[in-house]
Amino acid sequence: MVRARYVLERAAFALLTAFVAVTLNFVLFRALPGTAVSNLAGVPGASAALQHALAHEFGLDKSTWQQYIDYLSQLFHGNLGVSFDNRQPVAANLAAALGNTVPLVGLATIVAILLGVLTGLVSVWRRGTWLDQVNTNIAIAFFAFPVQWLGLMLVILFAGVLPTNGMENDFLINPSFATHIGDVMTHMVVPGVTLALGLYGGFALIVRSALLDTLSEDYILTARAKGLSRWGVLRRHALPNAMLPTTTLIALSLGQIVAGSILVETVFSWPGIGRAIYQAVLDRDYPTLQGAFLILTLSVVACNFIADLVYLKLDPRITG
Amino acid sequence: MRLLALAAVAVLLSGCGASSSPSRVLRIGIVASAVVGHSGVLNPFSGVGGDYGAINTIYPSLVLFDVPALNPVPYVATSWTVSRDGLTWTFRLRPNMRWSDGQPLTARDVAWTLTTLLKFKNGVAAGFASNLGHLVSASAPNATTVVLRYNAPVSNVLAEAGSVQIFPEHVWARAAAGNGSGLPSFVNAPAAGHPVVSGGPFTVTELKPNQFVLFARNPYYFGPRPALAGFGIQYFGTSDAMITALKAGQIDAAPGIPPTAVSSLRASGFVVPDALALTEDDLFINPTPGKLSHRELLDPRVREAIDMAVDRQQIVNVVYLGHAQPGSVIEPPAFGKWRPSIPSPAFDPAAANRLLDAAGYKRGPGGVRLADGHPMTYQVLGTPDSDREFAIIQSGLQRIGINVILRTLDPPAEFAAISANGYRNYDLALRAIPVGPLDPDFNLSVYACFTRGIYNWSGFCNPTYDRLYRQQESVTSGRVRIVTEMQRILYDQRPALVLAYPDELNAWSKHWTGFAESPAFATLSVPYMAPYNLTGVHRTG
Repeated sequence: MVRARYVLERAAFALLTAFVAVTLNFVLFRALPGTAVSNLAGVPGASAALQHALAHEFGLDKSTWQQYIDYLSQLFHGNLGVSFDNRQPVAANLAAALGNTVPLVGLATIVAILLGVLTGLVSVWRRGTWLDQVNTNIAIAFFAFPVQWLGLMLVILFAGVLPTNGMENDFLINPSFATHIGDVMTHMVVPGVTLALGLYGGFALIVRSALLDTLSEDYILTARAKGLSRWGVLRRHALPNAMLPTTTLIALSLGQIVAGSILVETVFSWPGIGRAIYQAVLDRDYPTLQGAFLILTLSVVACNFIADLVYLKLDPRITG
Repeated sequence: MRLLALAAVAVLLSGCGASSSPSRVLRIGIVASAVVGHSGVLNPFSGVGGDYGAINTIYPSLVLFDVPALNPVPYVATSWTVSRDGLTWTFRLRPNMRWSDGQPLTARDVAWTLTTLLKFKNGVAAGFASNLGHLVSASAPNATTVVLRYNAPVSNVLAEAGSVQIFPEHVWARAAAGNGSGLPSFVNAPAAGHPVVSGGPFTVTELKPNQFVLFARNPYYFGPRPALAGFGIQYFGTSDAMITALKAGQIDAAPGIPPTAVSSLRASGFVVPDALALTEDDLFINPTPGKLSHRELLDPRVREAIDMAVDRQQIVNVVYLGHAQPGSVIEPPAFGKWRPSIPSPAFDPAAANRLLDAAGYKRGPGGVRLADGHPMTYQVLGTPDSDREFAIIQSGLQRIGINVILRTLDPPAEFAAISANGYRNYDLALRAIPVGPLDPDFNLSVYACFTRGIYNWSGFCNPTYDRLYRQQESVTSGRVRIVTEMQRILYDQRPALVLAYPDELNAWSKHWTGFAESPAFATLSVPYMAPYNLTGVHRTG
């Protein structure tokens, strides 16, 4: 009963968060100076007639409140609208971009999580030693590096060795399926490494910090007194309890995969949703921006909800 | 589909006796943000107008303009005549032309295109409205004759209606049915092994918007057979990534090279000629009579002093590393005969100081001059790439007791800030002027009253100037004199200080040749990937 109430409460909160995010999405981009009309009409050959035509076509000649009602109505019918830029359905545009982003960012995020957890674990296992110091400082350094700078450095480092632009070699003639997959995987290496290096530092530091907190508990002392090895204490007692804050971070990171990485995708010309968002901001393409941020919001809310359910499994006491 | 597209290129390659290897396809890299229009989109009715260069390559126009003289030359039309009253233009077309799918390319396609654009010029085709000024009708009395009727003489018909891309009626007619609402969303892309129907020297066999476009030689092209069997364009997110790919041999050519990369590319054996500029960098000084604050900026003496305090040569040397020319008039160097021979203003802070002293702008605390009791400190609106140019301007103005602060915005926000409140708010703004067609009309219209709020970047509005603009639109002779006079008005009244004309910098591998290396015109000019640009290109050996 208590558990059921907990689940329902979390679900209701998730829905409310999604609705608020939808409204903020609508308001936020309209707060930007400049509109799609002024942007698209500022080209050679433009005219007042073009401005009026565009404003009417995009519905921007309606009141803001009417635009909001139309937007909500479209959403409830599963329609993300039409891009101001290429006049194609936003859902189709974003689906194509997401299909390019998820493999890259998903893989990089998983690698970052595994590497971060392992690094944090090793640091605590050898806490106070040179290994702990080196691990921690490297994690902090990569966490602090601007990811676009890191990407540009890797572009220069790997130029001519590994591909550093695009998702595939478009000039490859008649590749077999295996060759094509290999080509895409090869193109994922450098941007994937860039992303993973930028992300793993945060995981390493969180895991290390959570483990150190847990190691100060009395039950850890009991476990040591019972004769368990250091590694055994970490693996069987400390790590499971340290997973609670780590679970939050993992859930949020997985939820943000669909946001792509604007900086990395731009540096590496990766045709993903991050690059699409950047272009949509420049174009003031409201439907694309609203659609992309809606997907991101729902993804983060959903992953957070799943994290709440995982908490319930990890520590049933939280319902109290 | 992808396999079929590349197979089509391979067949064409084998057909011309060349080996079917990727090295026979010219690989071009372009920074997506440098493209006029949306990279890789072949629909001129969508977004900012589709990929201008790619569309120019597949859809021919009645005439082209040669370089460097910018004289009209035959293309689809072989000759043309104009009636004595200037209201009727008759074009004779080449006989027996075909689209790439084998369908006839005739006067009917020309007439249909222009009629459709006229029909929707206040709606979905509003982007073409300026090409059709005073055009009343377009008809095709036979397969090789097009007649355009105007209600007033138009001096630049060849640069406007004559340069409009001709669409295949049999492909676009369905999208243009009814109110034409299908035109912006029409997906003009290769499908199921069928290339895009083209009338130009190349057609599109593979397309991924924002990523990649593959062109193959059009076997039905009516002009000289291109030496190239095909070429592909890869769109990059940044110029650094593009330069790296060029050096690594992943692409063969790249337009729009930043000046900082020129020396290292030349040292690596790449060909990087400097070609005359098609664009310019401007510093706008608000000319709006109703300006709310800092009204001393309307004083011609202050504007002249600012002009004399900008070190244009230093901008050329530092910002462009010598790959630019100091600015003077609004028509860039590539516009040849349309430019009056007015020298670039001299950098003379001493004279500027004397002018401001004589005008009564005394220096206050910290050396900043005072106007109506307030310091002459102004905000300069700029874009993210304005920093270095701004630093030079700031340094020069400090020497004459004027302080400026940069506010960086993205381009749409910058225009919104400039044009806010009827242009009454802003002080100064830095901007690179977007490229227009190879005719002075667009650059002149940027300063006309009717473009305020649309693409008038300064807010300038002068009845005499506008009268001259209308005149140059319709005269049948003496247009150069009028265009020159208009530029003199702008030079004297200074709504914009033209700072520099950045050279067109394109690079290609020494393994390719046939690019026009004339200093007069850039072969790979991004905005003008016109048919003649690549038809002579081929591999060396």
